[in-house]
Amino acid sequence: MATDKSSAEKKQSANTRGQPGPLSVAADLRHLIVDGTYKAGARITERTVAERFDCTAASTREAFHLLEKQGAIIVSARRGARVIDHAQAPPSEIFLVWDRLRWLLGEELRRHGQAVNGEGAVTSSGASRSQRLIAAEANLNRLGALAHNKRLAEVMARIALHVMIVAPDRFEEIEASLAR
Amino acid sequence: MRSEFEPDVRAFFARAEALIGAVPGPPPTLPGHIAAWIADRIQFGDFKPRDSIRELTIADYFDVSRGPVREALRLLDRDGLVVLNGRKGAMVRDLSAEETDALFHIRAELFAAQAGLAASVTPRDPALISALGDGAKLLARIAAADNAPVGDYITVRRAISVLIASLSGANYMARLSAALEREVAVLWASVQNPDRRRRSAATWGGLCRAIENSRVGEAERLARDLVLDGLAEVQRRSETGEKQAASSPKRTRRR
Repeated sequence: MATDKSSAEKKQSANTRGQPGPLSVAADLRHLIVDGTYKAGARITERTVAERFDCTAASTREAFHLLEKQGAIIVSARRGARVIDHAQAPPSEIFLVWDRLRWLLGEELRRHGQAVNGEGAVTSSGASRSQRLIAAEANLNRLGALAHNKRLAEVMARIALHVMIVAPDRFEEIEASLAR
Repeated sequence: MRSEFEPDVRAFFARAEALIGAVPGPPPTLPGHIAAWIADRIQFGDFKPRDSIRELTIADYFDVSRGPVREALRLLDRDGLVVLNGRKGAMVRDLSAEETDALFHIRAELFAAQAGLAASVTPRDPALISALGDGAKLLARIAAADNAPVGDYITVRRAISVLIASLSGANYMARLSAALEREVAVLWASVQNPDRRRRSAATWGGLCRAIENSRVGEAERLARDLVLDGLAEVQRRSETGEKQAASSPKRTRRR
């Protein structure tokens, strides 16, 4: 990410028209996906993005690359960029993986002598989808650090993002599982 | 380099690919092709952690412009195999001990879940089951030969994993698992030695039989063991590797 940033910043500084760079385009696009403006399976064309954010085609492509790295979209040469859909991420399977990794997180916490309970968990009832996802990510970060396994927390955050995209009505199951 | 196993390895790989049809492979674009080639070089140990990968060298090798190579390196950056470092170019990623530990534990859990599903789902394609058995036999034959190329062993092992993933019917899990496996690819070649290959091939054989005979618990246990044995070997290697590095000058590649 840091390396993307340096090359991204170069592109940004080269832009004299004050257009947004790839990082800010990616962040804004992600927001639209998480909040459901772009729903599961929605096609995002380079042109729409370039027009919506008044950014260059290069910034758009770089933003797609960043979002693909986060697992929010899939970019293919033939079909362009699409938000991940139910076929690629079936909710039943997402939760199967989530439960396995949640169990592993508990094991890792125990391995490092950490009590496994919901103490210190961030809650955000009634908040927007973006805010709820951010709260879940914060909880995962905290648990990942306690478990000495940040990577596991990252993978779980990616799965939480997938739930928010393909099954937002089931996101409370993620929240409940983290508060346990 | 040709090996006595090459025709069988190729045939088995082609058979596995034909059987799994539904699971998408790497995109057949030029950058995708170049990325797959570089990923293989990394997994087979030709490119080592921290080696720099030069756009121009690769472009010359494929006789293409730098554009597709740059795109290939971007794909590999996305997959965590290389690190793009601005003007310094691309470098084969080096995993920290903590990250290695984490990745293997996650993979162990996912692979156990896949193996468990592969052993329990019904109905199953009998062609996949029979290919799995033949793959285990081929792997054992390669492992029995001390001088077999690392690439042959890894190729068959990879095809078996793909067959198990396909049997499990869990594509989301398979993609996640494959992504994590690509990230640790850089460690594979270093843990390959005849002894370990023989032990590992025997466990793979047991896993394939457990799946064939629907022994779910055993399949899960063996799958988890296979991944965690790999971790133990990587950790053992890096300990001895550090001792060697301390007594010999650091290997670097410069222009």
